[in-house]
Amino acid sequence: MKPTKDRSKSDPLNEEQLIEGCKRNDVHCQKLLYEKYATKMMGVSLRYCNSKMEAEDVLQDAFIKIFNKIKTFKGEGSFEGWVRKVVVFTALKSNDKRVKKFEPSNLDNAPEQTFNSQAISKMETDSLLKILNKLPDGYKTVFNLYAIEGYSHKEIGEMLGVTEVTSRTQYSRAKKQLVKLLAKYGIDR
Amino acid sequence: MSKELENIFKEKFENFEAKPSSDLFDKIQSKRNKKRGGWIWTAAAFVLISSATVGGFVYFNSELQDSDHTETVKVLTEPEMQNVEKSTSLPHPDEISQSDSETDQMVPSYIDLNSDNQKLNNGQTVSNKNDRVHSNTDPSISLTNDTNAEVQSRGENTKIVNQKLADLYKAIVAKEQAEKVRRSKTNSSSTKGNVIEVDHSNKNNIENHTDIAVINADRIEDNTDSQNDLDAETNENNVPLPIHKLVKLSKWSIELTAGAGYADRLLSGESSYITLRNESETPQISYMADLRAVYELSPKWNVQLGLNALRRNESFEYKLPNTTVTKERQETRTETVIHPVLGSYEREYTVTITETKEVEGETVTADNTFTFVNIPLAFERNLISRNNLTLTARAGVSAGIFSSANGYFLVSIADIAELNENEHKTWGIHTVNLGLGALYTVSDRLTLVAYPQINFGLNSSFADQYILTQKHVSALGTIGIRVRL
Repeated sequence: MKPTKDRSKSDPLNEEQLIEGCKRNDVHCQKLLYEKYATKMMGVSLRYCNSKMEAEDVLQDAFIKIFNKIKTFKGEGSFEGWVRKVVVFTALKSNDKRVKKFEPSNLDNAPEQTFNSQAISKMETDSLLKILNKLPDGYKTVFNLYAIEGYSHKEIGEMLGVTEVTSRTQYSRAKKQLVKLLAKYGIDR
Repeated sequence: MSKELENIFKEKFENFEAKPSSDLFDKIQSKRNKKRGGWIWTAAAFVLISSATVGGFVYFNSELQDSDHTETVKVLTEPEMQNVEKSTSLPHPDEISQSDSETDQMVPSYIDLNSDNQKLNNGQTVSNKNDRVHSNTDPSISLTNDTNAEVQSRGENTKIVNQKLADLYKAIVAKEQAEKVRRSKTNSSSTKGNVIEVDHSNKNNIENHTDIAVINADRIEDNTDSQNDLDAETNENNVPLPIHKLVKLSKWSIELTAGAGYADRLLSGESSYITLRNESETPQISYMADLRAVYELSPKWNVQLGLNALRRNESFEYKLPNTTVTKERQETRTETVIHPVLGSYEREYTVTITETKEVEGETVTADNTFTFVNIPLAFERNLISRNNLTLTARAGVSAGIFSSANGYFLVSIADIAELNENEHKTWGIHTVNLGLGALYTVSDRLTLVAYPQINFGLNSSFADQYILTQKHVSALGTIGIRVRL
């Protein structure tokens, strides 16, 4: 599979050319590639970190890895997906986010709370991000990986060094906790 | 709880963007530029520290050599001789009793030729493979014509390692004895040299004395039969003994070994994935070559620094899961319709037929190879020595890089990827090395080496972005040679 071509009219070079330029260590191409993906990847990084400074450190390390390892990108799958993967892995590694082993939680047997989906949909993303960042790190990581990045629980287990069951449990608790937080901030029925 | 919450968050955050600091790209570039030269500085620092360590040992040991490691016999000038005489309270040659029977076969027993500072007291013998010369200082036994067999027949554990040095020493001793006899006969001192002789009554002083023997044989007249025992370079005209031609062996050696064994990796991470990797990868015989410099710190200890290359081999075999292939095709059929008004007529219709077929998964095999180059630094200690055989223990650390990785590995249950050395750290892989060796001394310069060893990786060889860690372990047997310079 060849990488998808992003023929943005604002870029004098298309993505394929940018990638080739980065492989040759062309600083200009590196800068253009950075400008293309920095804001989106900053958004990814912010979801895993607790502060903007931490998120910038993760982004910095991720882009260093991207520029150093870009030669290993064979063009299979989308480049944005590969970049996002590197950012996610860097965030996980730098914060050493390990989902805890199964621990009894008072949320396991708690009844499911309802929430106002329309109200949530109208919320600003920044506000939702603040609520998301209030989750414990383990819950937040699993929620991000499953609900937003789209990894399966098996893949999450392999990435975090836990079992699939643990990943499912943590995700379930993360959702319940999130709804509780939303209720606390008045986003409920 | 429905998927609603997930969908809302996914929708909100999928394309969420935030602006980083404006100087972040510059920080990225400066950090990259710093890192690129980083490994060079690390390697340079390692070599510098190792050279300084070894050089320091050489420097300090060379300063101490004259006082405690007597591989050579030092020739002193007359003033130095006088100082030695005064400090050791040894009698001046002119004061020695001329008819003292105990001194007839006297030997300069304070000559300390043993690097362990074992004194060659009367009757005491020394056995140590590091000695350059062993001497039997029993004054009742003539040294002039003893051979190893004769010495051993007396039940003494003595071995002459350096025959040339031993012969020269014997010649010196014979000359002294001859001089003694001559003096006692002529009742005069014709020597103008400063030969220091030792009275047995001064034995206690001698035993406490650790300085090198001082013999200045520049004017020794020899009129006795023991002239036959003289060094070949002396003649009847009293040419001085070529003491300066004593053989001196260096403390440096070069060791070259090669071997084979098993090298494997220890994975840590998610257990089911590790099981998958262990099932698909099987270690094969691996090979190693090693070249190192060895510096003798003392008879029991040496330090080693060198270059080592390990080629780890493993076989990869994995059968991909079976897949189901679905194929749809359209088929046009006709049917007869009976209409109450129109009567019977034929009608065409199309059906979609779905065919599924299971395709057996492909079996992928490969020979995986990893090349690992490292710089070892080790200390070796002699444990037991018997005749020419020595048992040693060695421990050290090494720092290395992966220079190549070829083959395949499993990314997940249905995904095989190609190995790439870029996934591994290109530098900074540290290993602990432990070994028990057997050394067989063939000659002064040549030693055969056999070294089984085990090596443990201290850190993961995977690059930082991977959560899975991989540490290398190996058990190898190596053989080779060690040549003293």
